Amino acid sequence: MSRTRGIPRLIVSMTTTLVVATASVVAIGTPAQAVDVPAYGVITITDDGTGFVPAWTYDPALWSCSTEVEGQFNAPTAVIVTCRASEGMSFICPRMVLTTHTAGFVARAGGRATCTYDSLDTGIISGFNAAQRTGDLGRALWVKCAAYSDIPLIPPYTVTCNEPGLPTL
Amino acid sequence: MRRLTAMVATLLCGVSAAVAVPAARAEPGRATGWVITRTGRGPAVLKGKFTGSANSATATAVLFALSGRGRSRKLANAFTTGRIDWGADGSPRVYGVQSPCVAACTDPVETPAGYTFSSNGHKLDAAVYVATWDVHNVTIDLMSPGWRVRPWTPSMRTVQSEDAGDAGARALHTTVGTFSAAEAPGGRYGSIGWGILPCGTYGSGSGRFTGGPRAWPVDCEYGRSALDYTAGATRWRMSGDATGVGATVNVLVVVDYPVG
Repeated sequence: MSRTRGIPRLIVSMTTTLVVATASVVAIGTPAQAVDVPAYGVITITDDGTGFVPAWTYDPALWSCSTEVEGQFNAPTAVIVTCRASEGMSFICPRMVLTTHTAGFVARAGGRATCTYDSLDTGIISGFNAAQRTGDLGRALWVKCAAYSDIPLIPPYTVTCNEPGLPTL
Repeated sequence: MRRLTAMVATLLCGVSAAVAVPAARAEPGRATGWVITRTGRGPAVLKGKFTGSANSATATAVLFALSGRGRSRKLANAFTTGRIDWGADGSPRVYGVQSPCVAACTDPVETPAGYTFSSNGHKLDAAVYVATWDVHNVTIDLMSPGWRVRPWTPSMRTVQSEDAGDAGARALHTTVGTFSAAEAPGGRYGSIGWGILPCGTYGSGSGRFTGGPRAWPVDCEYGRSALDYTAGATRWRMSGDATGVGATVNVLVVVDYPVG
């Protein structure tokens, strides 16, 4: 009984695996080809007052991530994390969720999420505050997540750029 | 924006005629570096902190990791490649004109920097290179066991807006100008290149960053910087047409791979 129930589940599992594997092969095999695979992953830039910490969940096998810091260094005006797709690959950002959170009386930060040709921006917020934007950002040769300010960034703050829905097999 | 550029230029100097061609600076004494390698076998998680102070507004640091050997060397993606730009500061400067130096031509910015670098929790099987330009009082503190630091003299080049045939001015943590193009060669064993359109605070324009395997679009609005790397000789080029205001003066930074 359990074996007959298990077979359809196995078929579904194998089919899903095959579809994902095929998408990966298409993505790797065709130079600079856009595939409809979302750029699943999260980038966060956090500063609790002890210095900013960039973090990301993108797979290093498919993505290369870098951090840029600009402005006066002890108090940077921009911290930008860029995760770019490996050569010959590009993804899409259909459901990007950008969140900026400031958590102090003088805290001040803005957040921006970009997928190559389109972006979301929460604007600069301050004090104990949070702002969120969601949207379809189209094709993604890269995903950029930025914490920025017109004056130096003032912690504590967190900027999160999340393309949700990692597939589970 | 052009009016703003002209106003700043007039205010600070009030001269005429654009000169200068794209040029890369590569004075070895200003480039210092460190390499972080494993003391044991196999990959390991890496986390550490870089601190340093800028000698000038053009100070920059690039942190990257290379895995493999010879022409098969490539950027190790588990490590978060990093670039730090201390940014414009200090003495005002007008470029794209015949008398670019308005006040003191040295531009000290004694600004200590702190940057936490890491392999983002991944095990790393690579050597990490830290290349700095015009930076002093550098300390590198490793928070992960099984790694060590030793000095390294990097071969690197930086191109500033004022050396790239641009017109504009910088003062009080801000550059204002019109950018056209910048280029610099990469080393024969490979190099990492980073191009930045000088319109971070405000501006418009777009361009392309080339020299690596792929041409990267750059745009003042959506993504004004691009990074790439190549295992052979190349010529890095940031081309475009942008007018804007930014906090940095470097438009191109190139670090050669070490021999190996």
